[in-house]
Amino acid sequence: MSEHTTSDRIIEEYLGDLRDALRTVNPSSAKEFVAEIEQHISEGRTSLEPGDEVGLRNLLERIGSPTALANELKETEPARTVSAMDRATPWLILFGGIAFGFGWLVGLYGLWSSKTWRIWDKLLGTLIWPGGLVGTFYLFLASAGSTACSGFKGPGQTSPTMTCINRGITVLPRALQFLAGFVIVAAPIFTSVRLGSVLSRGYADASNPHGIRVVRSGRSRTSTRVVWIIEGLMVLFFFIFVMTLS
Amino acid sequence: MLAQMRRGAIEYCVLALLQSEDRYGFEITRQLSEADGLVTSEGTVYPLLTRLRNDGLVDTYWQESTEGPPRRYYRITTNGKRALKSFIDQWARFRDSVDDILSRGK
Repeated sequence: MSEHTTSDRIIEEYLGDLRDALRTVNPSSAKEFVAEIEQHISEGRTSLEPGDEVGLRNLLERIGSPTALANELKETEPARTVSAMDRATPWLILFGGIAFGFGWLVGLYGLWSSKTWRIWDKLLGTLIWPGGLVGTFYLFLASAGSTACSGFKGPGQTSPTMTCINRGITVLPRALQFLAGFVIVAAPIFTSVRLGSVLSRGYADASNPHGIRVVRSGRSRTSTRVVWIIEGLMVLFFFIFVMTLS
Repeated sequence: MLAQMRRGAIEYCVLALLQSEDRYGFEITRQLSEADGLVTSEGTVYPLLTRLRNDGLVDTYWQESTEGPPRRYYRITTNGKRALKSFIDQWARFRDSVDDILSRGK
């Protein structure tokens, strides 16, 4: 049983590395290619004894290293070109709101109609924040804070009892107010930078006609996780902040 | 340079293998890897198969297998047969010419 698990783990690791090396390839081609290799492995395993780890490693070695396979697939893929709309989208998402929101809507169309970005990037581009920097401006206005007071004068009282309720950013401690302001401004910029960075992957030019990019190392995978954690924290913080406004 | 030449030649070797019968990916890669110096790693054949399909030289279909999951079979098309015939004619001349020049250098 443990032997079987070891073999499965080896295959999972191999396919994981392959998927990672194929990040810059057209997603549908990458998916199809991984399925072919997966099938090849399962065909090859039929001639191996269960738990034959050496045989499995030899099989994977014959198939080739994930990096070599990814490079081969990139060689046979047609050059990926980046459309003008794709280039403009991160900018429109950030600054498009200035033109009465029209530019942002065009950017939104570019974002959702493009195959360059995956669903999570599209959601980030849409939600952080609607209207881009203009959305940020309105968010600032909303978060500037307000204090509503009401008074009640009971029998025998010379002056009314005042009750005041703070709304907005002022309900937060000063350090958190600063952090909230930073997150609100930085988040849309960060999101647009991310959209631009996804766009630049596999970008094809004269020196790189097939859009081949250096295969991502473990370190850059870690940096991607860090980016996602930061984005997640920003969204979490935003929702907590919205809760305090209401 | 050699890698490009090998890659170009393998495509026609695949077409030649498919001329006699339809084959699935694993079968094709094994046949090619048995030939000395033709394929460095079996997995690199799949991108070539994809390109042949994109170029309309082969098409594919799925068939149930008694030994496991369904297999994708590759079948040579009319265009593929035409391309193979043209390659075979040119290859013989090319090979003879290269052999001739190389033998003069000895």
